[in-house]
Amino acid sequence: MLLSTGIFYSCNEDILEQSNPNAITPKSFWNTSEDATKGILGAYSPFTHIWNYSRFEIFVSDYRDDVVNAYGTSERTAVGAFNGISTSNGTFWVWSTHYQAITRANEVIFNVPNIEMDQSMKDAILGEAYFLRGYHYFQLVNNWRNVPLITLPFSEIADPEAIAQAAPEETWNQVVADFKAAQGLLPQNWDSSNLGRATWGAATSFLGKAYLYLEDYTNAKTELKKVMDSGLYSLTADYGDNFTEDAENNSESIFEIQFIADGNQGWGGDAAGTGKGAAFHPDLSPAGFTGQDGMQINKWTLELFLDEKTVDDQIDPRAFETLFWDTDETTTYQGRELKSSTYLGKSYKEVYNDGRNTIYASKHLDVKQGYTGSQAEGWHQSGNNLRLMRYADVLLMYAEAEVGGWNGGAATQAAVDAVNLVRARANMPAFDLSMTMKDIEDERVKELSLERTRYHDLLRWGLVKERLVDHPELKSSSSGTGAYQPGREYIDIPQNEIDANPNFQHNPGYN
Amino acid sequence: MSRKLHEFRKLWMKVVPMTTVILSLFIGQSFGQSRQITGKITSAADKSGLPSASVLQSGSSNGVMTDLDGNFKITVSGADAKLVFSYIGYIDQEVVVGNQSIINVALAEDANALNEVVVIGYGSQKKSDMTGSVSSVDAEELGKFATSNAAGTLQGRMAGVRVSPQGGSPDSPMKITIRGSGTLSDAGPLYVIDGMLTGGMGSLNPQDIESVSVLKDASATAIYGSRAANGVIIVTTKKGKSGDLSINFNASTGIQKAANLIDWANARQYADIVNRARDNDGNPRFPSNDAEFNPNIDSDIQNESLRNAPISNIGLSIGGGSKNTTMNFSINHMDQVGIVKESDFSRTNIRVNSSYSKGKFKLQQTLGVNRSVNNPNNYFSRERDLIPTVPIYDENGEFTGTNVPEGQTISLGNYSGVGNLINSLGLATIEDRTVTTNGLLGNVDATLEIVEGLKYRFNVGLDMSNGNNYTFTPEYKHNDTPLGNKPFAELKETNSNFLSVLTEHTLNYFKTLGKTKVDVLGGYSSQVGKGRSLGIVARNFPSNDIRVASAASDRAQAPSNAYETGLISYFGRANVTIDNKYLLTATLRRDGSSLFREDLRWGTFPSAAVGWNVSNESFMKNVTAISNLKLRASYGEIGSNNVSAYAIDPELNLNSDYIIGAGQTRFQGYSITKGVNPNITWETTKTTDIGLEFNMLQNKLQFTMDYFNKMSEDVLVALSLPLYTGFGNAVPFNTASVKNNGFEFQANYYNNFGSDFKYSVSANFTTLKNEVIALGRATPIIQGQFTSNGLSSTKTDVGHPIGAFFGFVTDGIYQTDEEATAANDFNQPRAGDLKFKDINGDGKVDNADQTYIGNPAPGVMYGLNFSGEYKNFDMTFLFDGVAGNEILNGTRYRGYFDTEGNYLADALNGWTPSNTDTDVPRNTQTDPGYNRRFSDFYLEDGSFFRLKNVQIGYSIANETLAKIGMTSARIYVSSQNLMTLTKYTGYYPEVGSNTRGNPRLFNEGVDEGAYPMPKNYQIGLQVNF
Repeated sequence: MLLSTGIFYSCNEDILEQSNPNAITPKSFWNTSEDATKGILGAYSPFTHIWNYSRFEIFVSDYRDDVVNAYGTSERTAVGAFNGISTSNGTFWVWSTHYQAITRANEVIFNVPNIEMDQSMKDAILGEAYFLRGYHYFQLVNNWRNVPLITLPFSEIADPEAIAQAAPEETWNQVVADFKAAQGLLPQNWDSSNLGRATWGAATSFLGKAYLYLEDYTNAKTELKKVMDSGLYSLTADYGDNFTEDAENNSESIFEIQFIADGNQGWGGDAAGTGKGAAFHPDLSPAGFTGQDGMQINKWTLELFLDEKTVDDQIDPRAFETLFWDTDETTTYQGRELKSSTYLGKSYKEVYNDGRNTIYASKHLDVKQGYTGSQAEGWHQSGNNLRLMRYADVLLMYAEAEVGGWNGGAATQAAVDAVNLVRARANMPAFDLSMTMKDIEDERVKELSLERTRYHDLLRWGLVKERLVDHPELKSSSSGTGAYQPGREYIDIPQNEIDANPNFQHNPGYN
Repeated sequence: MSRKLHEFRKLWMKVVPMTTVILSLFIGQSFGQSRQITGKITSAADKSGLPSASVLQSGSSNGVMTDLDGNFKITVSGADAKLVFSYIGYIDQEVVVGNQSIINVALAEDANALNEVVVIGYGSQKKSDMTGSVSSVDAEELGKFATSNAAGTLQGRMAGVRVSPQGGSPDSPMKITIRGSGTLSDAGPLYVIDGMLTGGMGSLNPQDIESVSVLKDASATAIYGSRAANGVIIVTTKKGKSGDLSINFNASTGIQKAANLIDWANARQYADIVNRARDNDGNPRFPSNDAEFNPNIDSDIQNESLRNAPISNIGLSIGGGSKNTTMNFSINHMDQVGIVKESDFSRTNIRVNSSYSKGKFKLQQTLGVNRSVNNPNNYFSRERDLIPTVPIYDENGEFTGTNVPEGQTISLGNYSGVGNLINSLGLATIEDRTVTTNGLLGNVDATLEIVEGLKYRFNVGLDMSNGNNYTFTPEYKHNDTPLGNKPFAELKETNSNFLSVLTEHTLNYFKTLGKTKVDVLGGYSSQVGKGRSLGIVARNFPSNDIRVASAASDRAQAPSNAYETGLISYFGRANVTIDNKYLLTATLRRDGSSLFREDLRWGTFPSAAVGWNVSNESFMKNVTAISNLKLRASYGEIGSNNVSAYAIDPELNLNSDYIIGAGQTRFQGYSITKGVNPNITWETTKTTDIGLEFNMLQNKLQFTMDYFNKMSEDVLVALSLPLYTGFGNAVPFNTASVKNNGFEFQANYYNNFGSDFKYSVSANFTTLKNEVIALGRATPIIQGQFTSNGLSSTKTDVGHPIGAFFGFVTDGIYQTDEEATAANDFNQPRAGDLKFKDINGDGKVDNADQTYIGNPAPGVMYGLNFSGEYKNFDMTFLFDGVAGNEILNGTRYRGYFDTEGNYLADALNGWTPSNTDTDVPRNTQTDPGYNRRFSDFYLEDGSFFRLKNVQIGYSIANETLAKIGMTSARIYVSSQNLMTLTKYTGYYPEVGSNTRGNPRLFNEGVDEGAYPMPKNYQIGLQVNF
């Protein structure tokens, strides 16, 4: 019997033919409408990678602006002090998740047209893919500027060795083209079981935003106006509803990252059991409520809030949503009494009582949820969605386009009306035609601080040097702004790309 | 597979069964014109009969074996018949039968170790006939010390063989590196245990081992082809011997304690260090270190977590046999309690080996089963451990992790200054974890002598294991920090099983033609390995005491995996010995593997070697000072197939989830996340070995010297694809080359002092140089993380050793702010910060000033074993050591710079304006000078010399024992790691590599002090019946 066993095995050269029982191969994919859906969800997935909006994106956005004064004891925050050199993980982690999404969107755009499926679903999925690709290139061109422009699946690129960094204009053209394509394909609404997927409104808003960044005010105005005229969106009555888990995907929300806190703690993206919650809260939380180094808010931000009062002569309610500082003052808003408080409902004096008047963040923390700290239940403890585009931003962008930016003309009534909608919701007195671009900027700070847009605003307005570099005290918790060199408004190209592709070069200022 | 080969295989399949049938007819056939001779073979030394000695009619296959008393009976034919009497370890005698009918011979013991038979691949060989570099160990030594991992017993014993434990835990794996690492992976040697090809020897009972051979050069290893480039370790286990049943019982017990401790700060010192840092940084002091410092709390988590722990071993073996049948049975239980609380390990082994022979047919069988139960403590001495100002236990004696007084609303972070805090002992205690492994390893091996000199052998080997890895973390709350509590109980459990089946057919032909001996081997084998695992992660249990997944309300994940691999091989070897002077060996193996693409699947691995027994030349006759002199040289190309199953298959990732819908549901999304290189193939190591063996003083003094040069080419190196490909993995390419060269020296000496004191000494010494020759398009590999806070320490690049330490060079401490500013550092150092050298002399200190500052692999290693016997006493001393390596003492990072944990007491000696004569930088937590950057500040000399094993035994006289039915008894005392001379200040200079790297190769010598090495003291008893 032994002998026969032996011969049985000996004869069987089939043992050299082994196929993987753990996963399906890409070859057998892209055949059905289900495949198309799985493919597009896979392209959304990087948003919730810990290296993207789940956590790290904040280090390349808000942590870089003039509102946040972040501690610099880790290299992931180095970008915020103009030290985003090519090997910093903040440099390449976020970059890599953008490209994960782009390559997946490319697969969808390339493969889904060949699938026989319901046309409206096919259009919607293709629209989503164009939207996602446009969105991620928008982020890339604004943060890294000189990025490779890849629009085909890798298997279809004839000469991958020839890939080089594209001129920023080319990337911008792609952003506009993709948002336009998405606009033409996406539905206005999804049914409730598909809530959270990109819509016509999202594509149109971001198309308007792209034009605004390109200072193409005419087109910006046109696109943003389409959103305003669509009747699909309205400001929520309570400003705070934009930052709580209870009021996700509300009337004001145009596109938001969908997070859940389901107990999964794992880091990473595409592995079983990784968390898909908001794990950036520890990086926003006040000292003592976070296991991370954290940050504080620069004083000028609070001063800007306190500079004017509501129609009831109280502090701007948005200040209490956005910040946590040492005050006993309160504001009555939407039937609530707003106080400066953080986790466990504690006031500044209850927590610190150190007389140092440090200002911390409060936005997004949704402390009403009953958490006792930013990681009391581990990473990903919060399922609070992150709103990336809300109607208030559309209104403020529209106003800016209407005014024509910093070099534009006087305010128009349409611009004032748009801004006043935003102000009225916060009980702030209305502007009149004397409204200036500076007023719009200030309104953006009050309305949108810690919503991943301030640094890009400074960048597109050319104000990084004047507002940030020349004020090293704004980054006093890390190493100041001494590392700045012209060009360092943008992050360096990840060293990995430079090493792997001889065509690649560092960004200016990083040699 | 080529057409030719395919036909060869078909033919082969026909031949094997047919020859089996036809040639079996020869069994039992007798020869005519016969007469019977009887006699007895005795040992010339003590006149005792020699059982199972061989009696062979010269020039024929007619032979018998002696019985238990040495008696034999043989029928011979022909008038000029000659009989050859032989016995292993004795000198052969040839007797002309003539007309004698009774022949008694006394064989003389062969003091000449040249007749020593060494186990090699697919056979054994007289040492004098060998052309390859093979080290072997006296197995008796291996079983002397209770140890949890049999591989550890090889440490210090053989030149060129480095055995390194990963710290001191009882379950520590042993990494064996033979002649340096020729791969950029964690691939180790191939193990052949009783003919079964497998991946390790850790599960064996050391006392079951009969012999260990380590094949080092291509001449020796080529017969194992694609898996042998990192060396081959052949282990055979004890077989029974013909003769009376011998029963051996042994037991030992002992106590272990940490060889060295780390001097952490106490509560007062800790508070002083942190206060000084906060003052320096301009930050307020933390209440618990200042106004509310509690003098009643002074936690010493290191001391509280350590203990003196017992180690014990008990075993029984029974062996014996008759003329045609032998058997050996053994059972052993080893139990090691860890010196770190909440860790222990036990292993039970049962082994049955037997053999049956009749005429020209022989069947051997080995079977070992083992079960190990391991409870590791994964928390001791990790980052974010308890600080001394926080109590280990609360007032009720329960574990805690906070010192915030009751009623205060302040958070632990604001009160004590640490945002994360783990009570490592508490967590290790409340967490329930067991890793259970059941293994079975064995073979069945049948040999038939088809015609004289031609043997067919059929071998089936089996390696099976199944394991259960279970961790249950109950809901607990030691504090509010992220790492100090778990809001829900969680179970993680994985079951896995593995099966590997090897089938081998070999034909071996041996022929003497005049003065030329020819030994030819040919074979075919196939091996299939398969495994499956199924795990579960479950949460939310009805109670902390309910610990099975079915009880959980949330069975969140079920990670599972399956794989199967196959390997088919053809191999052959020819040994030619001419006049005992000229030796030739040629070997070829052809392997086909399922791991690679069809057209890249087959690899051929040749080697050739020559040897010259100079001392057998006539011109050496008169040179009496040298009793033996041999030169040998070999060259070969051997493979290493270290890729995992399906590494070449593109796959879709099924876990790219996103959340959609009003109900926020996680939906499965697919994506391509893995880049693959379908073109990968074997790594090939080209080895040249030149050896010299010579003996002096009538062979009492023996030397073996080898120079080797191993050039590993097509080494797989992971190329980081551009991130814009969207792939998250690094893709392997066969583009690197690594060179290892060195010199090995082994000497043995044995002698007597008078008639009572016998002793032997063996010494080995190895030098090694490891260098990366090429990386292809891959970039230098940056690894060696020694903290979770993202600092790297090693760089693997062309022209340097694998995993070389790469960082800044310190140059004392800045004494003034002006000096610090003038250095133009890319950070903002001040007086008291570490001064880093401007290596490239460009007037500023930045990343370009990093350089190679140390080598984790020792350039020199050595061992010295002394054993002696005096009357009833026996003794063994094994010394070993390494030199020329550096260790990254990660405790210096935690102890001087990490803000989330305790400090070393020495941090109190940090620079201050009044304490300027120090090499410890000033205390700071914001670290604007970036003192913590990787530099030689962390590196320490890794050399050590130690007394690894010492044992002194006393054997009780025979007469006394006979009365109580024993044949012998021995009691002994022993100790391991009794004395270690080192400058290293961490727990122990044998650090292995930490667990942050993948592969761990690049983190060699990176020590985070995770588990102290124990030293132990044992007493034991051995009794034979």
